[in-house]
Amino acid sequence: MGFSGGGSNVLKPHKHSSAVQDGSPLNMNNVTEATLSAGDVIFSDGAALQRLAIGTPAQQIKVNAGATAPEYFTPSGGGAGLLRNTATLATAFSTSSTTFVDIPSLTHTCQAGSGNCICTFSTTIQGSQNGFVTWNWSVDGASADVRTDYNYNMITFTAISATLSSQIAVAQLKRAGASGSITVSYANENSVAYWLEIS
Amino acid sequence: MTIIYFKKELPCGKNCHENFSKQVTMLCPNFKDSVTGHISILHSSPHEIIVSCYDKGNHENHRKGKIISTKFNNTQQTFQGTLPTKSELEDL
Repeated sequence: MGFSGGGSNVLKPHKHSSAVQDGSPLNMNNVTEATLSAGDVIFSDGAALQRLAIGTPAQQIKVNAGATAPEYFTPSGGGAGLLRNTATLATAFSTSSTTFVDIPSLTHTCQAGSGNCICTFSTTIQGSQNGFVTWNWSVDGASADVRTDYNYNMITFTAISATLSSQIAVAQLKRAGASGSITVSYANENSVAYWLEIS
Repeated sequence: MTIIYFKKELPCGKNCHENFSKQVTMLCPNFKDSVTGHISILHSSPHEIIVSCYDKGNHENHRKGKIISTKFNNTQQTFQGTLPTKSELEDL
């Protein structure tokens, strides 16, 4: 006997309420069938159920412009990309140059694209006089000089690039006065440079 | 600028650079460190040494085979006289 009751084989109009002879609530848990495809989503337009076909990979659902229905959309871009790099100079490097010279093994090439790069560079310094360190960027040019202490001290130097665009950053060192030398990574206390690229 | 690059075992310590600089000046009195030239040393084993003489009237810095030329600052002067040779420096 159909759930319309009375021996009739005609399904009468009915509601899926809890009322007796009114049918049971619509069981959608692996029972109810409809003209749907895998991944489809059902929503109401206020009068009847509607089908929202599944979107394409990585699409997301949002409310449409009229605030009447959901719809799929393709997100434009994403959050900021972050790339971290580390370079260590485990061997002391000294120079008596009063013009900046490159510190070996502390060169960094930024990834292609737009964005910024932040570099933090820490090193120990030894010299009979002060020195200076800087980062020289192939596109942006030299960062502001940072004056070092002449004793056996640690300095930390931060530089921020205006662009990425595959530019190359080179750590440089010079001494302040025309006498003696200035040394980074003195006594093999490592110099470490951390780069964080934000694209 | 004339740049002489070589590797050499050196007794390393606090005065490593200054000691080698004095030896270069004894060999070549016209070499005044930081004024008519400069020395850069990577204190590895063996040490990597670059002796730069400002005989062309400018400062130069080598970067991966390219030469970065810079005008003299107010303390740098042109190197005059006979340049040291690589073998002379290696024998110091």
